Amino acid sequence: MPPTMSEKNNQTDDAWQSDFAQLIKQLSHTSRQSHPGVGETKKELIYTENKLQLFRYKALDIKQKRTPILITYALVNRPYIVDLEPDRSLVLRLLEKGYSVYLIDWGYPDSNDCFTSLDDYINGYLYRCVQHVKRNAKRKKIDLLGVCQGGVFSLCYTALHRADIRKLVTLVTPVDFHTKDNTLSLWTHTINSTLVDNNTGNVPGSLISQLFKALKPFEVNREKFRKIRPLLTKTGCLETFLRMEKWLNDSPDLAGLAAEEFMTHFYQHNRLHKQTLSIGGATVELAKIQCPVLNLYSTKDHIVPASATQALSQHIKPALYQEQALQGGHIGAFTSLKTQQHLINILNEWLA
Amino acid sequence: MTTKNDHVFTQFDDLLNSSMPDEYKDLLKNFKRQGDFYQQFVDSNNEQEADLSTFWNLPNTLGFDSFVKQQPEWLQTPFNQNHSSEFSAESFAKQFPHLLLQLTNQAQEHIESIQASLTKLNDLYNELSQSAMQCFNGLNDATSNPSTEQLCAHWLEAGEAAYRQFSQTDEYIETHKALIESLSALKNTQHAFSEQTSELFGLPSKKSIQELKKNAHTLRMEFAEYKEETDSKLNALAETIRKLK
Repeated sequence: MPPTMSEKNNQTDDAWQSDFAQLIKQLSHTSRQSHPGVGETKKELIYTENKLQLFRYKALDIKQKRTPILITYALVNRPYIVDLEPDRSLVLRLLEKGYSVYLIDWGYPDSNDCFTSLDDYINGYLYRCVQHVKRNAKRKKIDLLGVCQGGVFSLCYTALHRADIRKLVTLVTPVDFHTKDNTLSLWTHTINSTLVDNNTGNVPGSLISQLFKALKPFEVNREKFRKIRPLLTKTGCLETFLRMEKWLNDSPDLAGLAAEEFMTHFYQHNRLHKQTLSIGGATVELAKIQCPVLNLYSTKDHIVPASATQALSQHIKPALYQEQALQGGHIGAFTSLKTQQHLINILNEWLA
Repeated sequence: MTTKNDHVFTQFDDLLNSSMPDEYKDLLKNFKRQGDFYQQFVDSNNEQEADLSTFWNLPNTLGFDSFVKQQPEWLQTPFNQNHSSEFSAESFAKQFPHLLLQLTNQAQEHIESIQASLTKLNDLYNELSQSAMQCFNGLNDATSNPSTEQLCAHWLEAGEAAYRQFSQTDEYIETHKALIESLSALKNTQHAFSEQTSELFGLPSKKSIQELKKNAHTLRMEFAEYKEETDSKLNALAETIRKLK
């Protein structure tokens, strides 16, 4: 006799309670009284300026490639997502292929940084980091790998400082901010960004985090927490979940002026794509980029739609341009176990 | 939830008072909150309740309930978007006489604008919930005797589909914009008040502090540029010396 609706409910309820009890047990276990570590691949600090830190990762004991690669992440989240855990570490995958890897950590801006502009970030901080990497690695040119907003900065940098960059990789990087499927652009199109500054003159990280969560509210705020069992049955799954949650809730405030400029120039006026962007008095012309560019985008990205990234092909000379699709979402493109191997193979082949 | 395994929740309550890291406590609370939510949803659905639309309430989904609690008392009511009846100017006047005394007429206008935006948003959220429920009913009708798993999948699909449609309408975007602008106008009025107070007591104004910060920032960037130039020259010199040797 099939179970009645009420019996079915009780079975579901019991199963959930049992899973919840198991979750409590695992989280309260003494060995887990501290959060699983993130960004633990060995690295050394080679340059620091204000809140910024530039790291060089310790090379593995294998034959090293000649050109170093500098990873530039977005301002809106912490860069340790590229080294979340050993199995999900873009950094470690690159080290395993013999690359010399450097990473910029922009830090947590406070009220002293509210006047930091995009010019300061690109022609100031990023410029000095590139020079330090060049000196540190004793190379005249380096490779640049920009992720999301870090990719936008990298594009601007490469257009403005062409002599520094051998090859450029952009990963889930928007270029055309006005594609039809760009919800973030629709929402921010008419908002004056100074309206959302807090009392430090910066845009609160929690607000940006909420904005991203609001793109898929039912999925991100509820569905993700519905199924406990998969977290408990697969080895390491709970640790990965905890690390990812830590990262998702670790959003630095955005320096007020730079946030305002980014919203106005990119989201509202689409100046990078329209070729009307000026940084520090110089026009950013993507067409002037003279190095090879690899543009990687993800197929299910709800934050930076594929169409927003593929617009780059309209600016870079065809002989220099290559693009590749990655399966997954905005973050899964480089953290997913399935995609990561594909990603590193593409990078290794193209950077060679 | 049923009461069969009450010890689980006793254990949960105990843990909240234990030395467990706060981030784990928050995580467990969230799991429990969502577990309760889905259980109530499945129960309500199985009991064939006529109106399930509250299960797609957007402010609640986004966690605005807890956001409300973090606000100063006088701002809690306007932010409580689940109870539009509380937005009336009359209730405001009763609850916040001290505020009305302190703020200027201009500030009152901003508060009224905030109320209007929130009421409009609340209407939009209700429309969204209704639309999601209709979509959910359609999905359920197309499936014979859906399992709990299917119910939850339909809930998600219906919610995201309805939201995708709503969140891109001009009305939704413009109402949010109006809310942000009204909040900002209120904030500016408060700033003007604090600037006047600072002036009265001979304290530095926000403007003068901002000016100081701006100059400090410029100095910091100039120093970093100078240091980079020096490092670069020293490096080039060291390289030349190395070659000469």
